[in-house]
Amino acid sequence: MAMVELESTWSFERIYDEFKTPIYNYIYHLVGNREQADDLTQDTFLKAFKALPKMDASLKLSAWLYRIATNTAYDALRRRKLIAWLPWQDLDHEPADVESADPQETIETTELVRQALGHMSPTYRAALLLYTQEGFSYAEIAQTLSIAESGVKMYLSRARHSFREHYRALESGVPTPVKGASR
Amino acid sequence: MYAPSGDIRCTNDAMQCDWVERHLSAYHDGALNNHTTDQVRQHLATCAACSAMLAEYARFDTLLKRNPRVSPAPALRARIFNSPEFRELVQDHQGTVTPFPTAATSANARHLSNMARWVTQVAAVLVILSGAGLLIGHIMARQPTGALYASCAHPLASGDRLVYQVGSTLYSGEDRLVCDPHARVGSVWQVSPDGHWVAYVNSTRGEVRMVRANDIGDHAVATGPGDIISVTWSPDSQAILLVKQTGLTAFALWLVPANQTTAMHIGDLDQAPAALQWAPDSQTFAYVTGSDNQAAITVRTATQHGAVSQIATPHVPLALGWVAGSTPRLTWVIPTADGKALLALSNFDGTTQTLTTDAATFAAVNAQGVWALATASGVTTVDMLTKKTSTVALTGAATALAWSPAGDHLAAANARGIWLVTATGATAIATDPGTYPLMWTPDGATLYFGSGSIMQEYALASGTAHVAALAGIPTAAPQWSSAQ
Repeated sequence: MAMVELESTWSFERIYDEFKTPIYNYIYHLVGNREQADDLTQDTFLKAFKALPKMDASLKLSAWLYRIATNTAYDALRRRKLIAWLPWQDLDHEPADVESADPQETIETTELVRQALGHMSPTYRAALLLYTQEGFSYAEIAQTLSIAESGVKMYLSRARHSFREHYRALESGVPTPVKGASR
Repeated sequence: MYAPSGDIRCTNDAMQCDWVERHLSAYHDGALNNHTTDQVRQHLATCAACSAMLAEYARFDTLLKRNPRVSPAPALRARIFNSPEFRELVQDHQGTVTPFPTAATSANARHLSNMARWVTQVAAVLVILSGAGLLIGHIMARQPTGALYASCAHPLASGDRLVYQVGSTLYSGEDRLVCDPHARVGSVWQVSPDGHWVAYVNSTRGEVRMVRANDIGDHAVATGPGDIISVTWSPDSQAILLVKQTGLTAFALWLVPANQTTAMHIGDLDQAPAALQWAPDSQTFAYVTGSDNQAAITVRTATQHGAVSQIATPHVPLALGWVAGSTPRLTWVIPTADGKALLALSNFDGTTQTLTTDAATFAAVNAQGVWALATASGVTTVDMLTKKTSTVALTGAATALAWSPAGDHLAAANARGIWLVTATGATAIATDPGTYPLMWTPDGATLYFGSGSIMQEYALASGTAHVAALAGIPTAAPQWSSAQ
């Protein structure tokens, strides 16, 4: 994904319109719940709007927005984990408007992907989503997750291992226990 | 087509495969140096297992990349730009705020012309709103300052009441608890352990407020800058611990006495604290920071410049708690690298005793130091003081566990139902999926739980459940108050 620098002609509305789908999609796949994704996307953009006037002109807007989104989602996941509530959204509540790049992608595969992501640690999930879905480079992931670039290699390695483990188990109908990991 | 690599054994030395497996992800991304890339490539040429794993990485990357993207509903845009927070941003800066960052002096002219464009856009939004019949003057008016908002028309009755959130307001029983029409209660609020106070964050103004459970004495508390992300009452109900986010990686701890309007800053962190738990003596508290492979439990005294000590843990704890006594002891559960659960209890001499059980997905401890763990085989209880353990089978793994306040009853829930768990077995009290957190009344006589979108009350004495009378479907975990 190309780094987007903030142009002086941007308005709050333009920032929202430009980034609403990638940020919402990212948050949704982090928390797995549309209602919570709505709230967290709102929180993310409002936090960004509040902080933006004080930022430096060299700000890399997209990575910064993803960073706010990541921290906002992590906070919510931590709170959710502590009160163990709001079940991971099931197929009956799939979002109404979904853009599919490949019309032949089956609902079954999409559901397996969603469930496998849901079984992963949020940190690994975030790294994997940023790399595969958002096309971030290692450097961009490091900046978004506030980790060293060397850490990104390790995160992606463990993320792929974890996703593979859970996806294969789900595919064969043998669920793996969810590890008690949070950020 | 992809072969199931789990059925293929590594044909090379196991240590070589371990080494290659650790580098396979970076190899796939082209992120290795030339020498390491060559080594991995040579190994792959003769190892079917590792080659199959690499092929799966590529397959799963493609699946993820092609996974349908989810868009927000159009209504979210209006919700954001019509929100009190956005309006306050406009009002507070009175048209001088811009979305673009601080510009150099030489760019000021361009900055100002774009500011004018932005102000025009905001004005257009306001015109649209007024055209829709909204009372812009009323909405944009300054919030009343001072201690009290107008009380509700019907003062709340005394006694034990359920406090819960529907939308952006709090209810006690079936009556509104927060009556200010401009206040918007966010997800951060908590009833004091004695049930007499409710601390909540008014997200309209980003302030913490305290209100007695009978709706009098609603006052705001002054704290420093930042967004409030949690409030936690001390066990003696005399104070709350506030965590504020003051920067992307900056957090502040504040102590707020219940009946005062000022707070004391007691510390700063570079990570958000998780699993914040007061000790039973209300003098000390503990919390977790860090991430997988490098986490820590910090214990602090709740005073300015109070004592701080840390316990390093290899993984983020699943849960932590305190065992009551003349000197409270900290106990916690962490997942281990080999898929087990490690339970720990701090000793008075500073050492730690540990015990290992099967992997747990959820854990809760009572004040007597007995852990309840949701394991694959059911619910396992572990008494950290006597080391006695017992396991009760359950239909499906538990996703929630709750001890009664006295620690003498245990409730468990999952998608298959709700149970009362004892040392000898589990009794089902509902067979619908559990959807709300389990919650005991302060006297431990009644269990509240959700099945579907309905909240129910289960009375232990009679063994019967009925639907709880509420003003709406709670949107956050209900709590119990005791109005004076």
